[in-house]
Amino acid sequence: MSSSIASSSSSSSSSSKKEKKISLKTSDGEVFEVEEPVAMQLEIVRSFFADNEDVTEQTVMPLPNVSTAAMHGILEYCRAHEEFRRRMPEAAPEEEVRAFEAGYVDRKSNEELKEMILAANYLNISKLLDFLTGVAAKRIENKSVEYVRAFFGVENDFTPEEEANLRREYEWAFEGVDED
Amino acid sequence: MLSTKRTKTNSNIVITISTSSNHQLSSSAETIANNDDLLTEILLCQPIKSLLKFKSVSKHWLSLITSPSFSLRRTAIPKSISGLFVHRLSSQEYDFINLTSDPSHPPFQSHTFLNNKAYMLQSCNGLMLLSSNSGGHELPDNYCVYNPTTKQYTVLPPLPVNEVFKVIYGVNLAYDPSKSPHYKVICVRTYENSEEGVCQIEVYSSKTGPWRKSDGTFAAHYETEFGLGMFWNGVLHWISPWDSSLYFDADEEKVHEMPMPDTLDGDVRRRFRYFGECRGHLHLIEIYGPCAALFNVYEMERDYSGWMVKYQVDLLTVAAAFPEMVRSDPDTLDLHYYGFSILSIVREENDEDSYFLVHIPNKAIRYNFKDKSFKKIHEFAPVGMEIKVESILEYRWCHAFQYVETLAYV
Repeated sequence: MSSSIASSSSSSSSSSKKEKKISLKTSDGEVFEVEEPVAMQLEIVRSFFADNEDVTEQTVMPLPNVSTAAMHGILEYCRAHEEFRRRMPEAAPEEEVRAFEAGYVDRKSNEELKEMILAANYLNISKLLDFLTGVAAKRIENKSVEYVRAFFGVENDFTPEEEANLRREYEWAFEGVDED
Repeated sequence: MLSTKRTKTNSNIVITISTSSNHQLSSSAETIANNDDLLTEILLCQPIKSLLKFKSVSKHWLSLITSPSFSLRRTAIPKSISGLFVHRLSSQEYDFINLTSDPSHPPFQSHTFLNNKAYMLQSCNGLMLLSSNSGGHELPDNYCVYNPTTKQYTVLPPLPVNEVFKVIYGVNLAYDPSKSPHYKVICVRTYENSEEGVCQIEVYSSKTGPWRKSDGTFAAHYETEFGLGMFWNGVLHWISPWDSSLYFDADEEKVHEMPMPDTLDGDVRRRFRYFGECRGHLHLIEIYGPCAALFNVYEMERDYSGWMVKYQVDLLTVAAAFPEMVRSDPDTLDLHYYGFSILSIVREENDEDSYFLVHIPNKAIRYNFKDKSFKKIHEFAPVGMEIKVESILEYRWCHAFQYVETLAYV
């Protein structure tokens, strides 16, 4: 991280503490040392520290529903947003944010995306969750029903007649489906 | 890459694109699918077309997408007009003009209910009011409220027999999903040979059921366009070429007078060329000349203080590019010198993109208000019958019905 900028801008209030870190332990046992303002974007972490008076800086908060891989993705997003906020506290540089988000999500496979949606949901990061569900929505909107079932692991429980009826009823909605 | 065939080899292909193990892969997918909150968030972002398609994913998806709570949340998301149905005068058929960039077939070509062909009376925030007649003038029309997106419809109970107010002036739909999931249908009736133009209103509510007489009567000029009511601002509006134009508040059930722009000459009959609602704006176009290709688009102020000039239009450039809209009449000041009609004003989220559709012989032109650019977006199939070249405008604003996709339950 760009420590020189951080220390100069926050010198007035927290010069004694340096940069406070929060320890978060993922499901597979890895401990992440996360800068406090980044960790506080995770609502579950923020409320854990706000509600428990006896926790200290040494407390390692377990996050049993988040894998290490998902955590890397989550932190990449939250750190970038913290950086935007630090540079422009009034209003985020919208175009830069959009460019970052587009590049960020392009590199994620469908599996990574789904894992991160669950992680963002569990960690209660509403901004990231809104963004990721929007991305998942875009990835499936022009796809076939079969693709979507596979994407979400959904079992087709219609009888062939029921399914044929539904398709007939909304025939026009099945036009222009992208290739899987 | 993904496939539904559940053979071993195919599922192995899936795994190679992921760093996760097979077990984790299916569990994250299924966990999302089993979490209705997450699934709902993803589905709310879908276009309506995809939602209709995804009804066939599974029974759970079908019930989620068709649930009233989902339709209410999805309906609250503002949407733009995806097309226009236009009623062809010569053949009584409907043409569909696609206004999206996505090529698509008309979702609706003809509709029948109670075994009779249905006619569109009004389109209101995605729902349509249709009428049909089983034949003969003695028999009353039947009415139905139709959702052309989901194809679901409800036939309204017959209008009650009214020995005094026998004549039906018009039936209108009032539906605003941002205020309520319910709609009302408003019928204006009058006497036979009513000189004074005394009218009475009956209201049907999808929430409370049967037709009900509204208290009191009111007077209106017999040429008031009760059949062409426009619902805006929670209120139905009726324009009249003479005397007062009116509006009816369906909640307080009172009729008010609507202010109108000044005509150049107070005694002249109003020349309406367009009256319609879009994206929460009520628009009006009247053309008096001297040149019919130059005119204003008015928009009503929300507090009814009056009409403001919203756009100024110059169709002379369009006439230069499409000379077929110039008629052979030697009098260039004649209001019919330029052959065009306005089909629909379409407001976009960003007002710079707002446009209107102009019908010239055989074509529909899209004209952008802001930068005055225009292009042909639709060619109508040639008319089936021999008619005079001068009059091949087949559609007027009252024959165009907005198509707005909606999941609204009727």
